[in-house]
Amino acid sequence: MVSALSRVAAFVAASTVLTFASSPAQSPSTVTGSLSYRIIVVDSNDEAQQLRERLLKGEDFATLARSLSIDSSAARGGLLGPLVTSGLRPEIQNAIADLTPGQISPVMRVPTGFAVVKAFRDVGGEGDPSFVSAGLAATGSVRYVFDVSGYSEAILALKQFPKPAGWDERPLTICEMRTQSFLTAKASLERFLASSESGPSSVRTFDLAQAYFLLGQLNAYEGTMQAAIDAFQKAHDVAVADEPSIRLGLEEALGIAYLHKAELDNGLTHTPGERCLLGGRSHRPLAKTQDVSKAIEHFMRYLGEKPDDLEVRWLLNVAHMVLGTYPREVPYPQLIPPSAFDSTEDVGRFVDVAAEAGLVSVASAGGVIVDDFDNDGRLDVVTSDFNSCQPMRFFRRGGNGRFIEGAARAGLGDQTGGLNTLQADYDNDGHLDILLLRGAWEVPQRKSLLRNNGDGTFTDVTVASRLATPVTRTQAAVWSDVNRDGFLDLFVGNEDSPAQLFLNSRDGTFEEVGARAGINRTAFSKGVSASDYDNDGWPDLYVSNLGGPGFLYHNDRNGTFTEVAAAAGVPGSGQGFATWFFDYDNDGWQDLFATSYYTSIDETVRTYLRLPHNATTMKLYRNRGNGTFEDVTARVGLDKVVMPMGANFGDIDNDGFLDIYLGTGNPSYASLVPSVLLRNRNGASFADVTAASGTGELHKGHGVAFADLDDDGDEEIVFQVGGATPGDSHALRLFDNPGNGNDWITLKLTGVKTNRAAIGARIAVTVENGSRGRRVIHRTVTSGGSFGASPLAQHIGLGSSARIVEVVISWPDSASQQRFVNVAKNQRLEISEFSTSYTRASRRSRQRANLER
Amino acid sequence: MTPFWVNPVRQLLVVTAIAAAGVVALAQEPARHAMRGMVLEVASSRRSLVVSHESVPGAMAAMTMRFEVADPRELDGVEPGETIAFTGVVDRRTLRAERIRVVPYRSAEQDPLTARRLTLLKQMTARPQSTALSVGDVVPDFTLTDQRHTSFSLSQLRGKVVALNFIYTSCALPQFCYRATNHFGTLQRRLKDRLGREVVLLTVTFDPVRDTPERLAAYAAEWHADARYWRFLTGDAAAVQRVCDMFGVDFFPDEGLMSHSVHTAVIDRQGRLAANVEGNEFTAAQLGDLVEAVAAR
Repeated sequence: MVSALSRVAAFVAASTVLTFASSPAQSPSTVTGSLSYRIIVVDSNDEAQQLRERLLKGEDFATLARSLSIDSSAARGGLLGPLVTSGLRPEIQNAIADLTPGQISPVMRVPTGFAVVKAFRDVGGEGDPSFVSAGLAATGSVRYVFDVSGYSEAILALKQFPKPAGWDERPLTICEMRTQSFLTAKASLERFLASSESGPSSVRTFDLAQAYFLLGQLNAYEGTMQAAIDAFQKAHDVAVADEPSIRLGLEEALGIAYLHKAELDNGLTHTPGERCLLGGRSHRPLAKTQDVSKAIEHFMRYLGEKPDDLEVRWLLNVAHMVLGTYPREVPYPQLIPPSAFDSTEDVGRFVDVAAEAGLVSVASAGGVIVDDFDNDGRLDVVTSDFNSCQPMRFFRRGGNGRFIEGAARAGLGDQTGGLNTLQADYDNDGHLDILLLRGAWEVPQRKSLLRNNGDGTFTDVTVASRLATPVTRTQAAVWSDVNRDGFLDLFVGNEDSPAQLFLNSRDGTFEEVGARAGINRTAFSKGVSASDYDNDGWPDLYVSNLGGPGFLYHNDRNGTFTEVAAAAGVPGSGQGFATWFFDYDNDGWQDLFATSYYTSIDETVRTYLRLPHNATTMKLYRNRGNGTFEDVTARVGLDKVVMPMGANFGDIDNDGFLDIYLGTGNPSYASLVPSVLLRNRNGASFADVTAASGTGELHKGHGVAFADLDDDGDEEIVFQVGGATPGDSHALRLFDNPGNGNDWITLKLTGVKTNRAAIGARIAVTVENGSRGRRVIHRTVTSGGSFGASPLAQHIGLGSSARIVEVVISWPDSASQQRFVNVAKNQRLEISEFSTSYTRASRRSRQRANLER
Repeated sequence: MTPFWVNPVRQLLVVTAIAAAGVVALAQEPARHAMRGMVLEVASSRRSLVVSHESVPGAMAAMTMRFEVADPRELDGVEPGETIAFTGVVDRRTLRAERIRVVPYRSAEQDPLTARRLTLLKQMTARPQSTALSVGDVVPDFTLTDQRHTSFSLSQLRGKVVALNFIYTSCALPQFCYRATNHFGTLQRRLKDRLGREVVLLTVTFDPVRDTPERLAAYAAEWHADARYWRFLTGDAAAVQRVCDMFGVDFFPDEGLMSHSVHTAVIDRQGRLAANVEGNEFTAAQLGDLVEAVAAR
């Protein structure tokens, strides 16, 4: 028999429109014009080969599909119809790439069995091109990251542990339960292993290897990496002797563990400086190189057996980056060349100045707020720490310009845990309050509403304000005055429980009306954003969901909302995380950005190597101005998969167009992929400027804020870096903007009828840039994206040689507008609703100097 | 043996196989083949077993056959639904199985590995808890809600054979939940004349918060599942957990997905657990053979 493959190799007369083999990452809609396909799936390779012989002899494909196929298409004769081929599993794409009408593919393995496909001319436009069964869809081929972190194990231990009633309503009890449950689980495991080591054991070798692996994971969780390595090595030894199928995975685990040990022992996580940045300039030799060398040995051994594995190939390159031997000592076939990360544009080199600025905070994952909490005209920095036993940090700027941490004095010392945090003046008293969100990825826990007392302290008013129960798993919330009564309401997206809408009762309490408002769908919600996308004056809501489409809730102006995501064309990536509304092209209509969170190094590396993706990319939806959106992701160059978590937008080059920064990763210590800085080119496309700007942090990126922290007229990036476990904490980064020649203005708005923090107010700045004509720059007052909070005062880049023609402020609640002409640039202004003038912001003398000491 | 060969494909393969065996029969020495397959039935005499075996290249197609066993002790610990490796000895008159070894499901894929590891940890840290049923145990009744919002109890099905599997619709890896559901889709077509009268299919979600009856109905639509005979079941978390515990199904949330074990069970007409197959490595045909074998008891 001529082999199936050589037969197909002979079929060179490819005349189809299929272009995926050479297409850039995920060409979005390669519908196979005149070609259609049928498929038969059977149980075994033998059966499939026999079947293929019968088909080649001329038996009718549809008839055999009906009688023999185990695919769900059997009843329709195996018809797949016209296809979006880029949405298919890669092995199917490859097998049908060159099929001409009448041809039969070679046999290929698919998740349900073994398949053959036939191409034919589509006569009647049969089938639905939008439908790709989950069994054949490309997304089913995603290689998820190998986990070394012990995070899942620690969560399981917490769930199993007996806990007192109400434990989840008290932050310090949550800490206690986490600690105790972890130690108890570890002790049980050690007892189990001791008994199986001390004598003849009934434990199967497979489970023994797994138990050692568990011990490695629990040690990795704590960051005791030598113990983790020892345990992984024991698991490896058992595998070598008795369980060869799991040996290779343990090779990778050992490499990851050695690499993490090297990071910890060399201070790469606590005092990173220029190290662990993509294209970093640090040539400081590593003090302890032995563990990185061990990691490289394990990765090389793995790649010796599985050279095509992109994840381990990436890790090998990272290990050489850490060692300082990248790229020159990476073996050629495994090298991911520096050119893969080339930036096409230069925005200057950002430098991490966190330590010099006094922003010294080593923490797990968490949120970040940059805003002025004490109304002294200087920005403060607040961070949360995912570690249930670690409190928030509250940094205020001292007289010498350096930040001083004072969470305990501010009454925030017992606010432990929480993955995200954001600010708002919910009681319109002129002092920004803090909301801390807990329970994400874990078990339901209480959130905290922290009222700013206006004297440098905060009071936990969660219970009194009626936000304490029910406890939920959340990191997604947005403040927005959805009923336009002048007080901010709170919309909360939860993981696996109904979303909530807390209406502000204007007396310090809230009433939850999610069901009545029609926004209480249950999903695994990871990001929410509010904005008036249809310019009808009423804020609408978007919910980004992991493992499903997003929800767009249109505000019906009567206390209820209608979900219109499908009709509006904003389904998201199906694997949503951070999201936001912003006007990326300055046309006066809010566009929608939604990330894609596939936890896959493989898919991320595909972005850099420009290989086709199996995962769905992030999405940018341009607002058409008629209630619908256009997916412009590919057109603007955002068809990337980069594992983003914390994310936000700002204007790094003061050109008036909003740029994007994405913090990346997941709990696994393997997830060392660069965070990504994307420069907006005049609202037409986005350029990756990560490597040139020095912002490609390889460690786990969470809360992101853009803010002019040093008052020099450009925005810094404040970046909470750190993983999900105590063994993966990291220093906060403050990337100082190197500056640019462009102009700017910062506007701090104060509502009178509108909520006092002015959230939702619209700003339109008309500028002339030299001889290049007039344009309008549009902004809406928010803290930005859904994972990280920038100042509510809007920093607006104006471009070069700018003259401000006019500034128009539109206030949602009063439906009033203010128009200011001939405003001077490069200054900070404060504007109150209804006021006919503005004031220059001055740095007020510190009223509470006693707090400085 | 014929009762198992109702499927036209399988009949076809059997014809081929007999032809192949005929060639063997002319030889002097009995032919010995390394074989592997799913056990469908162990004779009460423990002198034979029925196996739905994989093909033996050049000698036998995949099919269902009864093998004699010389020593009953060879069948110690061998139960329906298990995969065995053995030496198939074929001569003029008989088919014999020797050197029978149970092949436990041990996937090296990341997802089942993680699930197995977390199951181990759960067992180590758990308070005393209910253990999974053994083959032969009567399956306790349970009540869940199907894709039409109808309340449904297992006890309604006494007298029928029940095939039961466990999935969640957000499952990202199609070689697990999707494959399991697709096997049932194949079963629905293979057994269509007996479905409802003799055999009922149940697919239980272990993600009841997200897998509402509506979502299950939408998921079931791909296979045109007849809701009368193929019920997709959900319920409150505790009820679902109890059913999963009965069949040793473990699931652990992981970044919006789940690490989970994979089980497909068959319950006989008397309501006893006939088989609990772990993993995703068996074929749709083997599952069909198993269900028919239980129905033929």
